[in-house]
Formats: sequence, C-alpha cells, structure tokens
Amino acid sequence: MIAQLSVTVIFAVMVFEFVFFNSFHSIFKVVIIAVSYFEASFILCAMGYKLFSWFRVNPRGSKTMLFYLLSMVFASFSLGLSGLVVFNGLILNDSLLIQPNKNVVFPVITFESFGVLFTLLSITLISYISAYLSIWIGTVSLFRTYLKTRNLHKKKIWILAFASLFSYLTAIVPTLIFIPSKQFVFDDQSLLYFRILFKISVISSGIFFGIIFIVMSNSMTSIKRKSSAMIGKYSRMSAYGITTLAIITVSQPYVLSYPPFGIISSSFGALASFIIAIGFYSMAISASQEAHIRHLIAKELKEADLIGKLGTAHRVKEIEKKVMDISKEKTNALKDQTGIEYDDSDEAIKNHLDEIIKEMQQQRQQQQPLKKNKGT
Amino acid sequence: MNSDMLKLANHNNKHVFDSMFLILICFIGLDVVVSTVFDLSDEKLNTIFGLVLFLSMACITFAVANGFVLPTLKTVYKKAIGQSALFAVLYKTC
Repeated sequence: MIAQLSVTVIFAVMVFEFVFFNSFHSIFKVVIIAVSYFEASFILCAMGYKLFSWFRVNPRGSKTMLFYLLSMVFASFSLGLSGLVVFNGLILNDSLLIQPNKNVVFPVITFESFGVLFTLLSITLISYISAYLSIWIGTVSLFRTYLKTRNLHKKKIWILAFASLFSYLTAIVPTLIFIPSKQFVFDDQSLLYFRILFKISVISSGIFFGIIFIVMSNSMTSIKRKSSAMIGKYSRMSAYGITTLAIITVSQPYVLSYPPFGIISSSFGALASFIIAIGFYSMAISASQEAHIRHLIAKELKEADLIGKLGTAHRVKEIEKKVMDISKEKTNALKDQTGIEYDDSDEAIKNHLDEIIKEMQQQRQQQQPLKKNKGT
Repeated sequence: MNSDMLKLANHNNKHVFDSMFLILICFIGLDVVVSTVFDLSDEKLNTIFGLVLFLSMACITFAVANGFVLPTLKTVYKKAIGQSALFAVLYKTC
C-alpha cells in the first residue's frame, strides 16, 4: 500500500511537470523505479527465504516448487540490479531534464565506455534468463503432472509453451554472443527486430504461465472441497502475479524517453511481486499439506487392506479418528510455522477418506480383469 | 448482514477483483507495447496523440490499481493475507 501510493503521488507530480512545462526531471522516473523495483526485490527475497526455510524443515516438498523458489531468487536479484542500472544511468546522463527528442537513440554500451553499467546490464540479463528458465521448467513440469493425473491432452498449450521458449532464446542469442567481447548490444539499432521478438516472447510466456495457473485454479475450485478451493484461489493469485511481473520485466526502465512510456508498467513491480509471492507460497504449502494428509490416509488404508480389515466399518472409523488426530496436530504446527490455515475439519478428512477408498476400489476393479487374463 | 448476503458480497468482490486485474494487465501490456514503438519512431509519439494516450493510460491504470485492485485484494484474499504477520506487513509496504 505504502509503496504503491508513494509511486502514485510521485507520478502525479511528474505528470504535472510534463503537462505544464513540456518536460520532466528524470529524477522522478528514477525514484518511481527505485521504489517499485527495490520493494519488489525485497518482497521476492523475503518470500524466497520463507519458502527456503520451509523446504529445510520439509525436505519432501515438491521439486516443481524448488524451481519456483529458484526463479523467485533470480527475479529478486535481477529486479534489484535493474534498480541499480537506473541509478547508474542517471549518473551517466548529462541532461537531467527530459524534453521531446526527435532523434531515436540507440546506445552502444561497451565495457570500455560505460564500465559499471555494462557489467550491471550483463549480470541483470543473465539473471533474468535464469529466472525465466526456472519458471518455465517449473510451470511446464507442474502442468505435465496436472495433465497426467487427469489423462488430458492440451496440444495448443504445449505449442504455445515451446514457441515462447524458442522465440525467447532466439531473441536473446545475439546479445549473449557479444557479452564475452565486452559489448552489450541489446539496444543496438540493427537488432531492433530481435528486441521486438524478445518483448513479444516474454509477454506471450507471461500469458502462457497465467493460463496454466488459471486452468488449474478452475479445476481446483470445481472440486467441492474447501481446501482445494483455497489452493485454487492461491493458484489464480499466482496467475495474475506471474503475468504482470513477466510484462513488467520487459519495460526497459533505463531508457529515458519522452513521453515516458514504460514507466506506468514499471511502477507496478511491488504489487505484482506481492501477489506472486503470496500466491506461490500459500499454494505450495497448502498443496503440500493436502498431499501429505492424503498420503497418510492412503498409507493407513493400505495397511488395513493388507491384513484384510478394511471391509469392517469399525476399522474405517478407527483410521478416520487416527488420521484426524495426526492431521489436526500437523495443521496446528503448520499454522504456527507459516501462518497459513488449512482445512482440517472432520468433514474434510472424511471426504479425503471416502475419495481414497473409492480410488482404491477402482484400482482393484481395474487390476482384477488383468489377473484373470494372466490366469487364462 | 446475514451470511447469504455476505457470501454474495464476497462473490461479487472476487469478480470485481478478477475483471479489474485483467484490465490492469491489459494496460500494463499496452504500455510496454507502446514503449517498444519508440524503438521504431520517436517522432510518432512526441505529439498531442502521444501525450493524450500516455495520460489516459496512466489515469486508467492508476485508478484501477489504487481504486479497485488494492482495496479488494485484502477482502478477497483475507485468509492468505490476514493470518500471516509477514504477509500483513508486506501488504502494508507494497
């Protein structure tokens, strides 16, 4: 709230100057970006640390979430560095008053002429690529698992996923090739179409990531269980956050243009990071808790099935009670550790139990004809 | 307010939040697209059209974010934000 409101006030002052004096001071743009990017970096860093601490206590956590943790760390690092790049750009810029400029400027940034700026830009770019790749791998593996469990095939979404990755890598290759020769050619005039391709691919990737989370959210909320509905809500939150943040990362805040297009998107870094962090963190913990409870129930049921007691209603009641006790204990510990509440009501546990018994019965029915075929 | 009305209010809030966030994403995307046009031609946007476009985009985006998204964020996701001290602090600072 504080960062977003401060950005709005500074932006209003900048617009006033821009409208009435036909120019604006670049310091306003730098302050807006610094507030937005440093706050975004701090939020992602704090959430990354919380997620990492949770992984240390629960090493059985999902591997997909590890990729999201990595992407949060890289994104936090790159946003922080982008803020520094803007500061550095201001120091290097001779004119602090930005006025209409008829010539398009394509700066050639080399280590010899810009030194620190070249180094910062190169590290920021590599860090952004690492964040993109981690988030791409995480989302693709999450969606693959989702499709596998539901026996679904979504060809169009896979095409979008691989097309966005391919175009992203194609667009970034020329800049990466020139980094060892100490030249940052991303803004070079001859690479204009690569730059446009880069922006299109990042925006389409953001939309792809968002679609995946929305699809999963809709499927979770369609299950009439409170805990699944909550995971669905967090998934939707992650969708909004990830799409917004992806778009923001291509806004190139260090370019001092007139009118200052790009500044509007750059000023929402903190909001996007907050939404993405809270969505991922809550979703990871709730989904992992649900998986843990279902694993516990399945284990107890399988043990009872092996000794042939599952058929008795008394035994099912016993398992229900045991699982409820363990679940309540685990959920309370989780709430103390993370602050996230999980639905551990008697009704929710009973629903899990009924679902798993049904799944086991279906599996048994599928296995019986196979055994008969083998016997004949 | 009885529980049914409260449920309906929450449901409406959620829809408002979803549609407003989509508008926000569209305008942020449009800003990035227009900023790319600068690479093609600076002159095209140094006009009254560019000025009006920039101002209207800024007004809509900030109004949507500060008027709808931020206030409804806490009511729609109060379970996630309200129960963790860290989330509550981050919400205030973001």
